[in-house]
Amino acid sequence: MGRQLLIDTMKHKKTERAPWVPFSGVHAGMLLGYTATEVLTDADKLYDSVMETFRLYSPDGLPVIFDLQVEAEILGCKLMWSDDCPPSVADHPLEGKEPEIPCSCKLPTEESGRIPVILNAMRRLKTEIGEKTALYGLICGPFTLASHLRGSDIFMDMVEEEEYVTELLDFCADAAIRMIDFYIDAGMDVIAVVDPLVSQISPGHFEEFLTEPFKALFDYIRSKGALSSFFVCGNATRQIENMCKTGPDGISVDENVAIKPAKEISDRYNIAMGGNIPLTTTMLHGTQQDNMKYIIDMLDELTPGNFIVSPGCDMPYHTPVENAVAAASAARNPDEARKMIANYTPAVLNIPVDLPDYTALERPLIEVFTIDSETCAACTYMMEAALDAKRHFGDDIDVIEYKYTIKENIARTAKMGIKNLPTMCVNGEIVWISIIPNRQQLFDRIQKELNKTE
Amino acid sequence: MTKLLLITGFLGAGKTTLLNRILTEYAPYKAGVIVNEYGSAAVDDALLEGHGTDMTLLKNGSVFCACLKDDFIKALVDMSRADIDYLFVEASGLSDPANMVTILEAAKQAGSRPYNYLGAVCVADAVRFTRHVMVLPALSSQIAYSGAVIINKTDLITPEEADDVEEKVHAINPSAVIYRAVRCDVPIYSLARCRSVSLLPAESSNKRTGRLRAVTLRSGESPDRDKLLAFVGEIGPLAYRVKGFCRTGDGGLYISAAGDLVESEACDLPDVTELVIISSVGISIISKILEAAEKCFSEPPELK
Repeated sequence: MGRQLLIDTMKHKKTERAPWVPFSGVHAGMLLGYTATEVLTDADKLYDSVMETFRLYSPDGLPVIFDLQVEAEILGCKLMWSDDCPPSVADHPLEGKEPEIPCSCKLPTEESGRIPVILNAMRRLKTEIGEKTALYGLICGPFTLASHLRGSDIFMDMVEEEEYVTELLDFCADAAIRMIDFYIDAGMDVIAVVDPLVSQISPGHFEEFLTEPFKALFDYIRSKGALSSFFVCGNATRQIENMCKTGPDGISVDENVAIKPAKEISDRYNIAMGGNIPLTTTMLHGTQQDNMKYIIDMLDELTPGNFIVSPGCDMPYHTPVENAVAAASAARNPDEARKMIANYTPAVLNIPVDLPDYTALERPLIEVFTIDSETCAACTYMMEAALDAKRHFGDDIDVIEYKYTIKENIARTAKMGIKNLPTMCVNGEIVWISIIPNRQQLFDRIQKELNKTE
Repeated sequence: MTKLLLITGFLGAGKTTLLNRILTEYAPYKAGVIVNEYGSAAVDDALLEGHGTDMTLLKNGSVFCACLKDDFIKALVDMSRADIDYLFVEASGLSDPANMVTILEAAKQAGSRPYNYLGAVCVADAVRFTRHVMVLPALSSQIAYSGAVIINKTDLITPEEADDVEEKVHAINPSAVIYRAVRCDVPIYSLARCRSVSLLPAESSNKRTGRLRAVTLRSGESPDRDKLLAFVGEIGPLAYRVKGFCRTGDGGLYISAAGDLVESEACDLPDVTELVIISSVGISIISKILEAAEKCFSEPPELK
């Protein structure tokens, strides 16, 4: 049974193959023609969509919903909804104010926001397919939730208001505990604490602010008899060791992390690693063979066991069904797939792009290379930092975002020599890779460029 | 007109001990009680049983915070209509009573009969007051808005240390009548005569009391008594307060710990162990409890 395979893997037992967990969040809705908004707000559509994912992709484990904005919405953030991606946070209730902690009476209850919708779908799915596949309840990690509430001010707070950050994270961890209770009671086997922004801070800040709340959450999940996973996206390479020390049963990373060295670290802590089929280049824009080849190459590269095959993060809405089916078949029958791609050579993306003449710019140019600032929280906050600078410097600077979801930008990213997203460049120079500059750092850098032109 | 006395004081200072003394002394009168607890388990409620008073319990926060204020006002309205001579309100440990007068006014607007507000009595923990008043603004406010302050547990400190605590209390509230006591043994009737100075009502600082973390541990197991006490001894220094009724192999045990000081006495065997733990180390208390529990319980206890 797929569910047992997944549980055994997360309990670090020997298994016949690596389990397959497609993170089909909004993509599940696409399978039945529902928009992202529909599938994230309607219990019946959510249930039907997840059932369709189960039918088509034969998963060993499956998230019921992939939306990191559920808690933020309850805590007062306005959301911007979209047809083909999860909503993004449009404002931050604690931003630009004196440090403030919301009252505990604002914490989620079973009746808050969209929680009734989610719990309804979870309970029905547990009854229908819960014996066959492991169900994941995804919650927003405390650091990303704190960023949703406080906006990019949080990065400055970490330098100037350390005590406040600790208190705010404590509050956000309380929200997480509520969600853990609801989701475990609704039958979820695995609670994934999803905190994409973890990749955007230094290991020192992780140890200072995040080790304790994350360890408490994973200990709490374990005490309730469920399994836990720590999801991160972006280049979290430097955080893998810190993440392991918080004691989850599993870790999941995206394509920004080189999976082999990352798994070597997680193996030392006996934690299951999961990942990391590239979302855009492979799942969205690649072919069936590309998907199979990525998985086979990955499995062949890794030491066996303690591993879960999955996309790097929430699958793009428009992922072609045949690509996900191919991924499923490679994950479930690697020997067959290995034969099928034996002589396959991936096509090289060949789109001509012209880079600006960085030596002849009229004003400083801030280029933000993102997966998509509407879907990736780390990208959202890096883009927000750039837009904050734009508001401050006005017409004295230019700001542009290149989303990786557009093929031309994949070629541009490659031509710039950028290996990780999000990345911020100033006048063509790669300055911040997977780390969000605080206001002061960014403004100082721009001012330096402005001083040169004066 | 019903007379109202408010009892404040930090977690573990001795508020419930004082309230029990008051209810014993005031037995000839008809008394009502509102108890406000920080955690989700009703420990004080159980400790006060047997006095035959009307009791309302307000859990999970401070009655001076926006989240519980409405419930508090409703309780005041209800109690004002009850056939009682005295109403005693025991506030939770971090309650900031600066807005008590405003709340009474709001209760009046909501239909309450007027109360004769006798003011507040604050119980200060002699051992821990100096340390806590530095970091917890609600404690200063509790002193400032009191007519009487009981420096409790003076048997655990030297007379010089007691002088120091008294000096600090006096600096915050020069007009308060100060008593030094062990187990809140003070002339009870005199408390109601120490009316609080008429400080202007202010906004309660209890907007953020939600950040004090109360974890309720539940377990159906009956561990060895010594193991349970060792567990509480391990958690005590990480908590402002640990209290509750526990199951042990030797029968029921009431635990009351404040910092390093752990008190216990036999009680009826509860159906389940319920220990309220108020963390002084933030969320990491969860990991610490679960780690310490491994040596005491065979299954992880339920934490809420």
